[in-house]
Amino acid sequence: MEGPPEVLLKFLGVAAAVEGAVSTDLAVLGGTIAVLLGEENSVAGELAACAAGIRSPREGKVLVGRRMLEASTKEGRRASGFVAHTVEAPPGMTPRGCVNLAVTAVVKNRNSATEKTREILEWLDLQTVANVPLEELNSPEIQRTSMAVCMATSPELLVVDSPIHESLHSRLKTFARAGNAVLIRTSSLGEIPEGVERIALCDSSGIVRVVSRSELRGRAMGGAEISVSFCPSLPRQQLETIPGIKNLLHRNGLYKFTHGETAFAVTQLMNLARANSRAVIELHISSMPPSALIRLFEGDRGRTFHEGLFTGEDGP
Amino acid sequence: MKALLLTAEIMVKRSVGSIWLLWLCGFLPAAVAAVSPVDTLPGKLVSLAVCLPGVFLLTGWHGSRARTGLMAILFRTEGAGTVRFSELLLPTLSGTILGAMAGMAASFPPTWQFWLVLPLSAFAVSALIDSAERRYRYPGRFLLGLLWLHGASESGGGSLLAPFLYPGKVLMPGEAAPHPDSFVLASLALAGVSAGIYSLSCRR
Repeated sequence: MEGPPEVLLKFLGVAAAVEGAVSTDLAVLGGTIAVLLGEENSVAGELAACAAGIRSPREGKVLVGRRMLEASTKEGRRASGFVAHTVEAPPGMTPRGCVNLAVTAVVKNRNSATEKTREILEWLDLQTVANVPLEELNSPEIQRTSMAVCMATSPELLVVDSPIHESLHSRLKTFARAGNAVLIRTSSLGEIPEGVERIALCDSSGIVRVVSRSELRGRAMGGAEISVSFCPSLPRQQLETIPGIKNLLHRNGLYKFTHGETAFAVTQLMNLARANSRAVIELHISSMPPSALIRLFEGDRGRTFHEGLFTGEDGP
Repeated sequence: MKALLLTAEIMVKRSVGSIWLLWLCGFLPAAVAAVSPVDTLPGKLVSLAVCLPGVFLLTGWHGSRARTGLMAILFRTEGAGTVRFSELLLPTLSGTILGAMAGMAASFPPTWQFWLVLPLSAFAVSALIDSAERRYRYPGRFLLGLLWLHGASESGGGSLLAPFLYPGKVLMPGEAAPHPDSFVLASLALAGVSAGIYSLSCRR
Protein backbone atom coordinates (compact mmCIF):
# COMPACT_ATOMS: atom_id res chain seq x y z
CA MET A 1 0.00 0.00 0.00
CA GLU A 2 1.23 3.47 -0.83
CA GLY A 3 2.11 5.68 2.10
CA PRO A 4 0.79 9.18 2.64
CA PRO A 5 2.23 11.84 0.32
CA GLU A 6 5.45 13.35 1.56
CA VAL A 7 6.02 17.05 2.08
CA LEU A 8 8.53 18.17 -0.57
CA LEU A 9 8.66 21.88 0.17
CA LYS A 10 8.39 23.69 3.46
CA PHE A 11 8.62 27.37 4.24
CA LEU A 12 9.22 27.70 7.96
CA GLY A 13 8.83 31.19 9.38
CA VAL A 14 10.02 32.77 6.14
CA ALA A 15 9.63 36.54 6.08
CA ALA A 16 10.07 38.78 3.05
CA ALA A 17 12.68 41.50 3.03
CA VAL A 18 10.13 44.30 3.58
CA GLU A 19 8.88 46.20 6.58
CA GLY A 20 5.83 44.65 8.21
CA ALA A 21 6.49 41.29 6.54
CA VAL A 22 4.40 38.39 7.76
CA SER A 23 6.12 35.17 8.75
CA THR A 24 5.10 32.46 6.30
CA ASP A 25 4.66 28.76 6.99
CA LEU A 26 3.74 26.73 3.96
CA ALA A 27 4.14 23.15 2.84
CA VAL A 28 3.66 21.55 -0.57
CA LEU A 29 3.00 17.84 -0.77
CA GLY A 30 4.47 15.43 -3.26
CA GLY A 31 2.08 14.68 -6.13
CA THR A 32 0.55 18.14 -6.07
CA ILE A 33 0.81 21.42 -7.97
CA ALA A 34 0.63 24.61 -5.91
CA VAL A 35 0.59 28.22 -7.03
CA LEU A 36 1.99 31.42 -5.57
CA LEU A 37 -0.30 34.09 -6.98
CA GLY A 38 0.75 37.67 -6.48
CA GLU A 39 1.56 40.87 -8.32
CA GLU A 40 5.10 41.90 -9.24
CA ASN A 41 5.62 43.71 -5.92
CA SER A 42 4.36 40.76 -3.87
CA VAL A 43 6.44 38.17 -2.05
CA ALA A 44 5.48 35.47 -4.58
CA GLY A 45 8.61 35.99 -6.65
CA GLU A 46 10.84 36.05 -3.60
CA LEU A 47 9.29 32.88 -2.15
CA ALA A 48 9.65 31.13 -5.51
CA ALA A 49 13.32 32.16 -5.72
CA CYS A 50 13.89 30.85 -2.17
CA ALA A 51 12.19 27.54 -3.04
CA ALA A 52 14.40 27.21 -6.12
CA GLY A 53 17.51 27.83 -4.03
CA ILE A 54 18.39 30.96 -6.00
CA ARG A 55 18.02 33.16 -2.95
CA SER A 56 18.22 32.60 0.80
CA PRO A 57 15.36 33.86 2.95
CA ARG A 58 16.15 36.82 5.19
CA GLU A 59 14.46 35.00 8.05
CA GLY A 60 13.32 31.41 8.52
CA LYS A 61 14.08 28.28 6.55
CA VAL A 62 13.10 26.79 3.22
CA LEU A 63 13.41 23.00 3.11
CA VAL A 64 13.10 20.95 -0.07
CA GLY A 65 13.01 17.33 -1.17
CA ARG A 66 12.32 14.12 0.68
CA ARG A 67 15.40 14.66 2.82
CA MET A 68 14.19 18.17 3.75
CA LEU A 69 17.44 19.89 2.81
CA GLU A 70 17.91 23.63 2.97
CA ALA A 71 17.00 24.91 -0.47
CA SER A 72 20.00 27.20 -0.93
CA THR A 73 22.62 24.55 -0.07
CA LYS A 74 24.42 22.51 -2.73
CA GLU A 75 22.43 19.36 -1.91
CA GLY A 76 19.18 21.30 -1.65
CA ARG A 77 19.67 22.87 -5.06
CA ARG A 78 20.01 19.41 -6.55
CA ALA A 79 16.56 18.48 -5.23
CA SER A 80 14.87 21.36 -7.02
CA GLY A 81 14.75 22.94 -10.45
CA PHE A 82 13.69 26.32 -11.80
CA VAL A 83 11.86 26.50 -15.12
CA ALA A 84 12.21 29.98 -16.59
CA HIS A 85 11.41 31.71 -19.88
CA THR A 86 15.03 32.00 -20.82
CA VAL A 87 17.91 29.59 -20.84
CA GLU A 88 21.20 31.18 -19.96
CA ALA A 89 23.80 29.42 -22.06
CA PRO A 90 27.00 30.19 -23.93
CA PRO A 91 26.38 31.61 -27.44
CA GLY A 92 25.60 28.95 -30.04
CA MET A 93 24.66 26.27 -27.51
CA THR A 94 21.88 23.86 -28.54
CA PRO A 95 19.21 22.16 -26.39
CA ARG A 96 21.11 18.87 -26.74
CA GLY A 97 24.35 20.58 -25.68
CA CYS A 98 22.75 22.19 -22.64
CA VAL A 99 20.99 19.03 -21.47
CA ASN A 100 24.00 16.81 -22.15
CA LEU A 101 26.30 19.17 -20.24
CA ALA A 102 23.99 19.15 -17.23
CA VAL A 103 23.48 15.38 -17.42
CA THR A 104 27.20 14.56 -17.72
CA ALA A 105 27.83 16.63 -14.61
CA VAL A 106 25.48 14.28 -12.74
CA VAL A 107 25.81 10.93 -14.54
CA LYS A 108 29.42 9.86 -14.85
CA ASN A 109 28.94 6.99 -17.30
CA ARG A 110 29.08 8.31 -20.86
CA ASN A 111 26.55 5.87 -22.34
CA SER A 112 24.07 6.43 -19.53
CA ALA A 113 24.47 10.18 -19.95
CA THR A 114 23.75 9.97 -23.67
CA GLU A 115 20.73 7.76 -23.02
CA LYS A 116 19.37 10.07 -20.32
CA THR A 117 19.86 13.11 -22.56
CA ARG A 118 17.96 11.36 -25.35
CA GLU A 119 15.11 10.40 -23.00
CA ILE A 120 14.76 13.93 -21.63
CA LEU A 121 14.76 15.51 -25.10
CA GLU A 122 12.22 12.96 -26.30
CA TRP A 123 9.94 13.45 -23.28
CA LEU A 124 9.91 17.19 -23.81
CA ASP A 125 9.47 16.85 -27.56
CA LEU A 126 12.73 18.59 -28.33
CA GLN A 127 14.32 16.06 -30.71
CA THR A 128 13.51 18.07 -33.81
CA VAL A 129 15.22 21.20 -32.46
CA ALA A 130 17.88 19.39 -30.42
CA ASN A 131 20.70 20.68 -32.60
CA VAL A 132 19.35 24.16 -33.27
CA PRO A 133 21.10 27.03 -31.44
CA LEU A 134 19.01 28.42 -28.58
CA GLU A 135 18.99 31.85 -30.23
CA GLU A 136 16.81 30.42 -33.01
CA LEU A 137 14.22 28.70 -30.81
CA ASN A 138 10.75 30.07 -30.07
CA SER A 139 9.55 30.75 -26.56
CA PRO A 140 7.73 27.42 -25.90
CA GLU A 141 10.85 25.54 -27.04
CA ILE A 142 13.02 27.69 -24.79
CA GLN A 143 10.75 26.96 -21.83
CA ARG A 144 10.86 23.24 -22.58
CA THR A 145 14.66 23.42 -22.85
CA SER A 146 14.75 25.13 -19.46
CA MET A 147 12.71 22.26 -18.04
CA ALA A 148 14.93 19.73 -19.81
CA VAL A 149 18.04 21.20 -18.14
CA CYS A 150 16.25 20.96 -14.78
CA MET A 151 15.38 17.31 -15.38
CA ALA A 152 19.08 16.44 -15.61
CA THR A 153 19.37 16.37 -11.81
CA SER A 154 16.10 14.42 -11.41
CA PRO A 155 14.56 17.02 -9.10
CA GLU A 156 11.76 16.34 -6.64
CA LEU A 157 10.45 19.90 -6.82
CA LEU A 158 10.03 22.13 -9.86
CA VAL A 159 9.53 25.86 -9.45
CA VAL A 160 7.97 27.28 -12.60
CA ASP A 161 7.68 30.91 -13.63
CA SER A 162 4.52 31.67 -15.57
CA PRO A 163 3.20 32.18 -18.20
CA ILE A 164 3.55 28.49 -18.84
CA HIS A 165 3.17 27.35 -22.40
CA GLU A 166 0.42 24.81 -22.98
CA SER A 167 2.90 22.18 -24.15
CA LEU A 168 4.31 22.07 -20.62
CA HIS A 169 1.00 21.62 -18.77
CA SER A 170 0.74 17.87 -19.35
CA ARG A 171 4.45 17.39 -18.54
CA LEU A 172 4.09 19.22 -15.25
CA LYS A 173 1.09 17.06 -14.37
CA THR A 174 3.00 13.90 -15.25
CA PHE A 175 5.94 15.13 -13.17
CA ALA A 176 3.64 15.77 -10.19
CA ARG A 177 1.82 12.46 -10.61
CA ALA A 178 5.16 10.67 -10.22
CA GLY A 179 5.18 11.84 -6.59
CA ASN A 180 7.01 15.11 -7.14
CA ALA A 181 5.84 18.64 -6.40
CA VAL A 182 5.38 21.67 -8.63
CA LEU A 183 5.26 25.26 -7.44
CA ILE A 184 4.09 27.83 -9.96
CA ARG A 185 4.69 31.53 -9.53
CA THR A 186 2.22 33.68 -11.41
CA SER A 187 0.70 37.14 -11.35
CA SER A 188 -2.53 36.34 -13.16
CA LEU A 189 -5.39 34.00 -12.39
CA GLY A 190 -5.75 33.30 -16.10
CA GLU A 191 -2.26 31.79 -16.28
CA ILE A 192 -2.93 29.05 -13.76
CA PRO A 193 -3.02 25.71 -15.56
CA GLU A 194 -5.58 22.97 -14.96
CA GLY A 195 -4.72 20.45 -12.28
CA VAL A 196 -3.62 22.98 -9.67
CA GLU A 197 -4.82 22.01 -6.21
CA ARG A 198 -3.93 24.97 -4.02
CA ILE A 199 -3.38 28.66 -4.65
CA ALA A 200 -1.55 30.90 -2.19
CA LEU A 201 -2.59 34.52 -2.57
CA CYS A 202 0.38 36.79 -1.86
CA ASP A 203 0.73 40.49 -1.26
CA SER A 204 3.84 42.50 -0.44
CA SER A 205 3.91 41.36 3.19
CA GLY A 206 3.43 37.63 2.78
CA ILE A 207 0.91 34.90 2.00
CA VAL A 208 -2.54 36.31 2.75
CA ARG A 209 -4.65 33.25 2.21
CA VAL A 210 -4.44 29.76 0.76
CA VAL A 211 -7.45 28.62 -1.20
CA SER A 212 -8.42 25.75 -3.41
CA ARG A 213 -9.00 26.43 -7.07
CA SER A 214 -12.74 25.77 -6.75
CA GLU A 215 -13.02 28.09 -3.74
CA LEU A 216 -11.31 30.87 -5.68
CA ARG A 217 -13.53 30.30 -8.69
CA GLY A 218 -16.58 30.40 -6.44
CA ARG A 219 -15.57 33.73 -4.93
CA ALA A 220 -14.43 35.30 -8.17
CA MET A 221 -17.66 34.07 -9.87
CA GLY A 222 -16.52 34.84 -13.37
CA GLY A 223 -15.29 38.21 -12.26
CA ALA A 224 -12.82 40.21 -14.28
CA GLU A 225 -10.86 43.40 -14.53
CA ILE A 226 -12.40 45.63 -17.18
CA SER A 227 -10.80 48.59 -18.94
CA VAL A 228 -13.04 50.84 -20.98
CA SER A 229 -12.87 54.24 -22.64
CA PHE A 230 -15.63 56.31 -24.24
CA CYS A 231 -15.69 58.96 -26.93
CA PRO A 232 -16.38 61.64 -25.83
CA SER A 233 -15.30 60.78 -22.29
CA LEU A 234 -17.97 59.90 -19.73
CA PRO A 235 -18.00 61.44 -16.22
CA ARG A 236 -16.85 59.15 -13.43
CA GLN A 237 -20.17 59.51 -11.57
CA GLN A 238 -21.91 57.74 -14.43
CA LEU A 239 -19.76 54.64 -14.03
CA GLU A 240 -20.19 54.67 -10.27
CA THR A 241 -23.88 53.98 -10.85
CA ILE A 242 -23.12 50.48 -12.14
CA PRO A 243 -24.12 48.09 -9.30
CA GLY A 244 -21.25 45.93 -7.98
CA ILE A 245 -18.44 48.03 -9.49
CA LYS A 246 -15.19 47.92 -7.49
CA ASN A 247 -11.74 49.53 -7.53
CA LEU A 248 -12.70 52.13 -10.13
CA LEU A 249 -9.71 54.03 -11.48
CA HIS A 250 -9.69 56.79 -14.10
CA ARG A 251 -6.57 57.76 -16.01
CA ASN A 252 -6.30 59.65 -19.32
CA GLY A 253 -9.87 58.86 -20.30
CA LEU A 254 -9.48 55.16 -19.54
CA TYR A 255 -11.59 53.61 -16.77
CA LYS A 256 -10.38 50.48 -15.03
CA PHE A 257 -12.45 48.51 -12.53
CA THR A 258 -13.21 45.03 -11.28
CA HIS A 259 -16.62 43.43 -11.28
CA GLY A 260 -17.91 40.11 -10.01
CA GLU A 261 -20.13 39.50 -13.03
CA THR A 262 -18.42 40.29 -16.28
CA ALA A 263 -21.42 39.89 -18.59
CA PHE A 264 -23.60 42.15 -16.42
CA ALA A 265 -20.87 44.82 -16.24
CA VAL A 266 -20.37 44.84 -20.02
CA THR A 267 -24.14 45.13 -20.60
CA GLN A 268 -24.27 48.06 -18.16
CA LEU A 269 -21.38 49.76 -19.94
CA MET A 270 -23.10 49.47 -23.30
CA ASN A 271 -26.37 50.81 -21.85
CA LEU A 272 -24.50 53.74 -20.30
CA ALA A 273 -22.80 54.55 -23.59
CA ARG A 274 -26.08 54.43 -25.49
CA ALA A 275 -27.99 56.48 -22.90
CA ASN A 276 -25.31 59.18 -22.96
CA SER A 277 -24.70 59.14 -26.72
CA ARG A 278 -21.16 57.91 -26.33
CA ALA A 279 -19.18 55.33 -28.30
CA VAL A 280 -17.14 52.63 -26.58
CA ILE A 281 -13.75 52.95 -28.27
CA GLU A 282 -11.77 50.55 -26.11
CA LEU A 283 -12.83 47.55 -24.05
CA HIS A 284 -10.45 45.06 -22.46
CA ILE A 285 -11.47 42.23 -20.21
CA SER A 286 -8.82 40.40 -18.25
CA SER A 287 -8.86 38.06 -15.28
CA MET A 288 -8.99 39.67 -11.85
CA PRO A 289 -5.63 40.91 -10.58
CA PRO A 290 -4.32 39.25 -7.40
CA SER A 291 -4.94 42.38 -5.32
CA ALA A 292 -8.64 42.25 -6.22
CA LEU A 293 -8.77 38.53 -5.45
CA ILE A 294 -7.20 39.19 -2.07
CA ARG A 295 -9.89 41.77 -1.35
CA LEU A 296 -12.51 39.07 -1.97
CA PHE A 297 -11.10 37.24 1.03
CA GLU A 298 -10.66 40.30 3.22
CA GLY A 299 -11.46 39.57 6.83
CA ASP A 300 -10.18 36.01 6.46
CA ARG A 301 -6.55 37.04 7.02
CA GLY A 302 -4.92 35.09 9.79
CA ARG A 303 -7.31 32.18 9.51
CA THR A 304 -5.90 28.71 9.84
CA PHE A 305 -4.57 27.37 6.59
CA HIS A 306 -5.76 24.17 5.03
CA GLU A 307 -4.90 21.18 7.10
CA GLY A 308 -2.34 18.88 5.54
CA LEU A 309 -1.00 21.47 3.18
CA PHE A 310 0.06 24.20 5.53
CA THR A 311 1.92 23.43 8.64
CA GLY A 312 3.72 25.11 11.41
CA GLU A 313 7.12 24.32 12.88
CA ASP A 314 5.76 21.06 14.36
CA GLY A 315 5.03 19.47 11.00
CA PRO A 316 1.81 18.56 9.24
CA MET B 1 35.59 15.93 -17.90
CA LYS B 2 33.08 17.22 -20.44
CA ALA B 3 32.51 20.39 -18.42
CA LEU B 4 36.29 20.84 -18.16
CA LEU B 5 36.93 20.52 -21.88
CA LEU B 6 33.85 22.51 -22.85
CA THR B 7 34.86 25.37 -20.55
CA ALA B 8 38.34 25.42 -22.09
CA GLU B 9 36.88 25.37 -25.61
CA ILE B 10 34.41 28.17 -24.82
CA MET B 11 37.11 30.29 -23.15
CA VAL B 12 39.38 30.04 -26.18
CA LYS B 13 36.51 30.66 -28.63
CA ARG B 14 35.39 33.75 -26.71
CA SER B 15 38.89 35.23 -26.57
CA VAL B 16 39.70 34.47 -30.20
CA GLY B 17 36.42 36.07 -31.19
CA SER B 18 37.31 39.28 -29.36
CA ILE B 19 39.19 41.64 -31.69
CA TRP B 20 40.41 43.94 -28.93
CA LEU B 21 41.84 41.04 -26.91
CA LEU B 22 43.76 39.90 -29.99
CA TRP B 23 45.03 43.44 -30.49
CA LEU B 24 45.97 43.71 -26.82
CA CYS B 25 47.95 40.49 -26.91
CA GLY B 26 49.74 41.59 -30.06
CA PHE B 27 50.38 45.08 -28.74
CA LEU B 28 51.84 44.06 -25.36
CA PRO B 29 54.93 42.19 -26.66
CA ALA B 30 55.51 44.92 -29.26
CA ALA B 31 55.28 47.65 -26.60
CA VAL B 32 57.64 45.78 -24.26
CA ALA B 33 60.10 45.24 -27.11
CA ALA B 34 59.95 48.91 -28.04
CA VAL B 35 60.65 50.30 -24.58
CA SER B 36 63.01 47.71 -23.06
CA PRO B 37 66.80 47.78 -23.25
CA VAL B 38 68.16 44.92 -25.37
CA ASP B 39 69.82 43.11 -22.45
CA THR B 40 66.59 42.80 -20.38
CA LEU B 41 64.27 42.19 -23.33
CA PRO B 42 64.43 38.34 -23.45
CA GLY B 43 63.62 38.09 -19.72
CA LYS B 44 60.65 40.42 -20.06
CA LEU B 45 59.35 38.55 -23.07
CA VAL B 46 59.59 35.25 -21.17
CA SER B 47 57.62 36.79 -18.30
CA LEU B 48 55.12 38.16 -20.75
CA ALA B 49 54.73 34.70 -22.31
CA VAL B 50 53.73 33.38 -18.86
CA CYS B 51 51.21 36.21 -18.27
CA LEU B 52 49.69 36.56 -21.73
CA PRO B 53 47.51 33.41 -21.72
CA GLY B 54 45.98 34.54 -18.42
CA VAL B 55 45.35 38.03 -19.77
CA PHE B 56 44.02 36.66 -23.04
CA LEU B 57 41.69 34.05 -21.54
CA LEU B 58 40.53 35.72 -18.35
CA THR B 59 40.06 39.38 -19.31
CA GLY B 60 36.31 39.91 -19.38
CA TRP B 61 35.61 36.20 -18.87
CA HIS B 62 33.77 36.57 -15.56
CA GLY B 63 31.25 39.03 -16.93
CA SER B 64 30.79 37.18 -20.22
CA ARG B 65 27.57 35.54 -21.38
CA ALA B 66 29.54 32.36 -22.03
CA ARG B 67 30.56 31.97 -18.39
CA THR B 68 27.21 33.06 -17.00
CA GLY B 69 25.51 30.53 -19.25
CA LEU B 70 27.83 27.69 -18.28
CA MET B 71 27.39 28.42 -14.58
CA ALA B 72 23.61 28.67 -14.98
CA ILE B 73 23.41 25.26 -16.66
CA LEU B 74 25.66 23.68 -14.06
CA PHE B 75 24.26 25.64 -11.09
CA ARG B 76 22.62 22.57 -9.56
CA THR B 77 25.42 20.11 -10.24
CA GLU B 78 29.03 19.43 -9.29
CA GLY B 79 29.95 20.85 -12.68
CA ALA B 80 30.06 24.43 -11.40
CA GLY B 81 33.25 23.55 -9.49
CA THR B 82 34.70 22.00 -12.64
CA VAL B 83 34.18 25.27 -14.51
CA ARG B 84 36.07 27.16 -11.78
CA PHE B 85 38.85 24.57 -11.88
CA SER B 86 39.05 24.73 -15.65
CA GLU B 87 39.25 28.52 -15.79
CA LEU B 88 42.27 28.36 -13.49
CA LEU B 89 43.88 25.31 -15.06
CA LEU B 90 43.78 26.47 -18.70
CA PRO B 91 45.69 29.76 -18.27
CA THR B 92 48.12 28.08 -15.88
CA LEU B 93 48.88 25.27 -18.32
CA SER B 94 49.08 27.47 -21.38
CA GLY B 95 51.19 30.03 -19.50
CA THR B 96 53.56 27.28 -18.41
CA ILE B 97 53.88 25.84 -21.91
CA LEU B 98 54.30 29.21 -23.61
CA GLY B 99 56.72 30.35 -20.90
CA ALA B 100 58.78 27.14 -21.28
CA MET B 101 59.04 27.63 -25.03
CA ALA B 102 60.01 31.28 -24.64
CA GLY B 103 62.46 30.38 -21.87
CA MET B 104 64.19 27.74 -23.96
CA ALA B 105 64.41 30.16 -26.86
CA ALA B 106 65.86 32.89 -24.64
CA SER B 107 68.44 30.84 -22.77
CA PHE B 108 69.19 27.22 -23.46
CA PRO B 109 69.30 25.22 -21.26
CA PRO B 110 67.24 27.10 -18.66
CA THR B 111 68.37 26.82 -15.04
CA TRP B 112 66.68 24.36 -12.68
CA GLN B 113 65.18 27.30 -10.76
CA PHE B 114 63.36 28.35 -13.91
CA TRP B 115 61.51 25.02 -14.12
CA LEU B 116 60.29 25.43 -10.55
CA VAL B 117 59.43 29.10 -10.78
CA LEU B 118 57.65 28.78 -14.13
CA PRO B 119 54.55 26.70 -13.16
CA LEU B 120 54.28 28.36 -9.76
CA SER B 121 54.35 31.81 -11.34
CA ALA B 122 51.91 30.78 -14.06
CA PHE B 123 49.54 29.51 -11.37
CA ALA B 124 49.97 32.63 -9.22
CA VAL B 125 49.44 34.95 -12.17
CA SER B 126 46.32 33.08 -13.31
CA ALA B 127 44.89 33.03 -9.78
CA LEU B 128 45.57 36.75 -9.32
CA ILE B 129 44.08 37.73 -12.67
CA ASP B 130 41.09 35.47 -12.02
CA SER B 131 40.51 36.96 -8.55
CA ALA B 132 40.92 40.52 -9.82
CA GLU B 133 38.52 39.86 -12.70
CA ARG B 134 36.01 38.19 -10.40
CA ARG B 135 35.97 40.91 -7.73
CA TYR B 136 37.19 44.18 -9.22
CA ARG B 137 37.24 43.83 -13.00
CA TYR B 138 38.51 47.20 -14.36
CA PRO B 139 40.27 48.46 -11.19
CA GLY B 140 41.76 44.96 -10.82
CA ARG B 141 43.17 44.97 -14.35
CA PHE B 142 44.56 48.45 -13.80
CA LEU B 143 46.29 47.48 -10.55
CA LEU B 144 47.82 44.33 -12.01
CA GLY B 145 49.03 46.33 -15.01
CA LEU B 146 50.64 48.88 -12.70
CA LEU B 147 52.31 46.09 -10.70
CA TRP B 148 53.71 44.63 -13.89
CA LEU B 149 55.07 48.00 -15.03
CA HIS B 150 56.55 48.64 -11.59
CA GLY B 151 58.33 45.28 -11.61
CA ALA B 152 59.51 45.73 -15.17
CA SER B 153 61.07 49.07 -14.32
CA GLU B 154 62.71 47.84 -11.08
CA SER B 155 66.09 46.31 -10.85
CA GLY B 156 67.37 44.68 -7.68
CA GLY B 157 65.27 43.50 -4.71
CA GLY B 158 62.16 45.35 -5.85
CA SER B 159 61.62 42.77 -8.58
CA LEU B 160 60.57 40.29 -5.89
CA LEU B 161 57.39 42.34 -5.54
CA ALA B 162 56.35 41.66 -9.12
CA PRO B 163 55.37 37.99 -9.41
CA PHE B 164 54.66 38.37 -13.12
CA LEU B 165 58.36 38.82 -13.81
CA TYR B 166 59.82 35.91 -11.82
CA PRO B 167 60.43 33.55 -14.74
CA GLY B 168 62.26 36.22 -16.72
CA LYS B 169 64.29 37.37 -13.72
CA VAL B 170 65.39 33.81 -12.96
CA LEU B 171 66.60 33.39 -16.52
CA MET B 172 68.20 36.85 -16.86
CA PRO B 173 68.97 37.96 -13.30
CA GLY B 174 70.80 41.18 -14.21
CA GLU B 175 73.44 42.88 -12.06
CA ALA B 176 71.68 43.83 -8.82
CA ALA B 177 68.96 41.16 -8.94
CA PRO B 178 68.50 38.76 -6.01
CA HIS B 179 69.88 35.22 -6.29
CA PRO B 180 67.64 32.93 -8.42
CA ASP B 181 67.02 30.72 -5.36
CA SER B 182 65.20 33.58 -3.67
CA PHE B 183 62.76 33.63 -6.61
CA VAL B 184 62.04 29.94 -6.00
CA LEU B 185 61.14 30.68 -2.39
CA ALA B 186 59.23 33.81 -3.33
CA SER B 187 57.23 32.01 -6.03
CA LEU B 188 56.35 29.24 -3.54
CA ALA B 189 55.13 31.82 -1.06
CA LEU B 190 53.38 33.73 -3.79
CA ALA B 191 51.57 30.62 -5.06
CA GLY B 192 50.26 30.08 -1.52
CA VAL B 193 49.16 33.69 -1.16
CA SER B 194 47.49 33.68 -4.60
CA ALA B 195 45.66 30.46 -3.78
CA GLY B 196 44.41 32.11 -0.58
CA ILE B 197 43.28 35.24 -2.43
CA TYR B 198 41.63 33.07 -5.07
CA SER B 199 39.68 30.98 -2.56
CA LEU B 200 38.62 34.13 -0.69
CA SER B 201 37.39 35.71 -3.91
CA CYS B 202 35.42 32.55 -4.72
CA ARG B 203 33.82 32.47 -1.28
CA ARG B 204 32.77 36.12 -1.12
